[in-house]
Amino acid sequence: MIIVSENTAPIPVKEYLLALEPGAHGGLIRKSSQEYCIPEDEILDASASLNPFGTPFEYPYTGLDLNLLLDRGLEKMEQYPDNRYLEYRKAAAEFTGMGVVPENIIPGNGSTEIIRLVAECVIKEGDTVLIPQPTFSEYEVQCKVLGANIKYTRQQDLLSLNGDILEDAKILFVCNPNNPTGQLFNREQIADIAEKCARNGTLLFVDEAFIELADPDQSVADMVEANNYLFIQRSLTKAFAIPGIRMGFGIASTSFAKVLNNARLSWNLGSIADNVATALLKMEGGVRSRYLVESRDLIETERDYLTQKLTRRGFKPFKSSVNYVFVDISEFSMNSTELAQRMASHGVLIRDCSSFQEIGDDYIRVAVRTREENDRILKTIKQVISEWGREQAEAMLDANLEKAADCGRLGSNTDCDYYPCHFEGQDCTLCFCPFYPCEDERTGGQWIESSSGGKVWSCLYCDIVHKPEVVDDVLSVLVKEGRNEKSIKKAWKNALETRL
Amino acid sequence: MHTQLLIIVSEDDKKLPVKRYLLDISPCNHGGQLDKASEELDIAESDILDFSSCLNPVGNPFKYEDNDLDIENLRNIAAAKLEQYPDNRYRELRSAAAAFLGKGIKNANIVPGNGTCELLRLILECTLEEGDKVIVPLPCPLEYHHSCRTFGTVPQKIALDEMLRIPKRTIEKSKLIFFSNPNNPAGKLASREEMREFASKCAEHQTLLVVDESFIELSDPAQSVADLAIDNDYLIVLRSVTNAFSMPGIRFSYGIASKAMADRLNSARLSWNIGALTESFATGVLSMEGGPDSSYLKRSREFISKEREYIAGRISALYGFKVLESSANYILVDMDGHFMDSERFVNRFASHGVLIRECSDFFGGEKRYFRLSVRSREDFEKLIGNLDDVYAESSREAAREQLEETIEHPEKTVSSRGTCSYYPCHFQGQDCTFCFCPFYACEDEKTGGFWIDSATGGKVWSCEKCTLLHQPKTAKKILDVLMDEGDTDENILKAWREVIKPLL
Repeated sequence: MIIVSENTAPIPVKEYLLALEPGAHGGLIRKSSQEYCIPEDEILDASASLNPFGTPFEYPYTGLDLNLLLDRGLEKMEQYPDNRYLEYRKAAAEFTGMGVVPENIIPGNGSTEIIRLVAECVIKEGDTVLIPQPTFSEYEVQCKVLGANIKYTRQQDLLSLNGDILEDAKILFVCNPNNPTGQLFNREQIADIAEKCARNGTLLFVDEAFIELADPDQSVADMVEANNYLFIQRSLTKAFAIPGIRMGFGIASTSFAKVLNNARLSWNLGSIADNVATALLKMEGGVRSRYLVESRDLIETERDYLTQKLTRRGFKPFKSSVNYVFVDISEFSMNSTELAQRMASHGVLIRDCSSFQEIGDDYIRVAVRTREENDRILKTIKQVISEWGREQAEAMLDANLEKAADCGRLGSNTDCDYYPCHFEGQDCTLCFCPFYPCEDERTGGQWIESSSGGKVWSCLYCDIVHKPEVVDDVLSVLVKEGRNEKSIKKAWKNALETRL
Repeated sequence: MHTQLLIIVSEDDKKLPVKRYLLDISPCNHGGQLDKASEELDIAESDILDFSSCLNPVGNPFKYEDNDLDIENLRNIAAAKLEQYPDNRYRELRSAAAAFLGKGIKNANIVPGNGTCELLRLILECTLEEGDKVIVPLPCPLEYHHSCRTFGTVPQKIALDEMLRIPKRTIEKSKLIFFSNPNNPAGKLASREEMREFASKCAEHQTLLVVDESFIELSDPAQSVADLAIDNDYLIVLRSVTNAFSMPGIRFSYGIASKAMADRLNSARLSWNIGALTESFATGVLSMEGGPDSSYLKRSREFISKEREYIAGRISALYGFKVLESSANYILVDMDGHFMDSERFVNRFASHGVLIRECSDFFGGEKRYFRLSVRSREDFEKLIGNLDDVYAESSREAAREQLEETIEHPEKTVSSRGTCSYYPCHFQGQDCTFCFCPFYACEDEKTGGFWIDSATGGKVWSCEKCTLLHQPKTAKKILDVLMDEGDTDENILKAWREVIKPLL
């Protein structure tokens, strides 16, 4: 017998932390693999937004050898990294260009750490931060850890910022390009926002994590030196597709960067991360390296392809500047959570956006991948929709059969918008045909071209299951024996075969 | 070409959007800064002997055959996962840590961290509110101070020897107490019993006790209190892979706490704080057979214990050094009675490529202590071999400074130093302008000086029987020459030629 005592003493953490939930994220390959029993290497992850072009190590022209870099990093395993990270910061400054110098750079062990560092340095418990919706969830989570009050605004409001919106917000977070929407503000727009923030005493935190995959010319890195109230975050994990190595950096004015570097965690970049990241940043051409230029080209082409195809299926993708597409799926009766789960069960992960603040369950985010992968995404979507469609149909059919069991044929459904889809007086019990797709042209049914380029069985010219006498015969089998493979065969034989 | 856009910043150009108290914060000082040292001293990194960082002196476990670690394998496991985000639950890693510790600790009790600094900061973030008091021992790792300062708190320092006897009233008033066990830099290890009692006392008064056991595997892991955290919401124990396994490039530490506390800490910690390589390597070493009693760690402890005894013995035998009793892989040396201060001592060694951790920052600026890590016998002898030169140079340096001062302000020098405890080191009425002889070491036996054997086994020039510079007339003549225009060194040569030589 286990006696569980009620622990009434509070645990020694700040009260507002008791309810803190860590942020939701994409990229849950292992979890999905475990949940759906699909081997990890068969899962296509379109929920994390990494560069579809692959890592620079896959392209010999970059001259980068991952194993060599790892080994070099490992050789230094017994040494503390140099906490000043001089080489890394120099490489980061050169990579960014735009007049940025090493003194503007703050090294980080990934985005989350950088966001937290800035929040720690700026926010006191009770301070307000302003977050436009929908956007990356970590800003909110990190600020909550520090006890901030979150005030929400809309992405659109950023273009008409004023004192009323900013109020006493200590930080305004702008993700550019935005995650999950893919929208990119240009430099002038950001400059305008920066000016307003600085005037209001609000720190503008611009997250440029995806900018290398969109349009690095829109970066505002050159504006930091003249503005202490501007902070920019850059990430390497998305652009170089190696999230397993945690690395990133912040860009700020020399004076602001100094304080941040003094306050940050010592040795936050391990020797491997330091080594690999520095090598990546030093690739010839910086943000205009051949690797990144080709990446952007691929992304643009595939984004157009994916967007087009999704539109043809009846989805509403938003215009995106980057390597993922934000899609409105409200036309479909499936919600985002269901869609994401079903896709996952087929080994394709997409991002269910219901975890983004208050946008509901009508949005998904799909990563732009290679042609082959995009085709698999599209195929899986199709599969899922038709499976779901079938499930819905079967559910409706079963519901109808249950009713029919009590009171016989249901007769005409005059409430239906499509009535009569075949003829006046038709019976609608078998609205969802139990024999679909019968693939038997004697019924009048036929194969037609689908909008996505495959073939679909059309029942347009078949009215047999609407004939009252046929329905009675089908029901006499299905109601008695239930709906299963055997009974359906029997019902076909009894009710239809003889009449065709 | 980028458009120049006008940005209007706030009137005060220097105003920064940070909390006031952060403007005074400086980065934490640490030992083991080879790159920096190499640059500053202009000595190749490979020629530097580092006694300033406290890593396991036997080196990392991959060098040894008596374990089944395969560096290639671990590297490949990680390399295969680089293109994915790590699994933020870090289940395997946490389980490996729990298994390493044993004693009923489960993976639900483990909080992974990218270094101890991150864990300290996380704990403070989760617990400290404005105005809360924190207690730290004196001395303690500087990271405790640094972390508290990033939250605008200055911790109260209590002498290490008094920590376990802190009065209840003081405990009650504090939100958090940090304790380093074994203590860094002092090396003192409190027993499990003592710690258990202290932890109970803290819990009783709802004060969170954070016990940093970063070095315990190199000392005596049986004294650990990690398992006591399971049932105590007011105890968090920190452990690290960095020092015990000599892998500072792979930053991994972990906290052990009650399930409820660990759950909150894991919710609040930085997501994906551990990269694939760290995950792979840390999991690998923590899974080594035997855990804290693996043959690797047992061997390490034996080596450390033996060498520590030796170096402590040797250093204590030298005049002016007192070695504090240590159970760790480093010793803290008190040079209070020494003619040099710790800063000068450490700097002199540095110029010879030997890094020692100067400890004035641990002791509020008092230049009295240095910390020496245990290394191989061979390395230690090399260090000692430099001691004679260090002394000689140091004396010369001090003498030089004194000399410059004398030349600058001759009116300040007193011809007899009535206040000097050695007066008269030669004769009554001696002149003390040149207490520190500008010609040292003249190596000219005609002065009365001669070579003697030093305690470290070398030879030292002794001035015991030379009285030349204490003669008032001679002192004045030398001073006149030195105060002439021109380079001091040339004037010294001139003074020797013109004043001393004729007297020999």
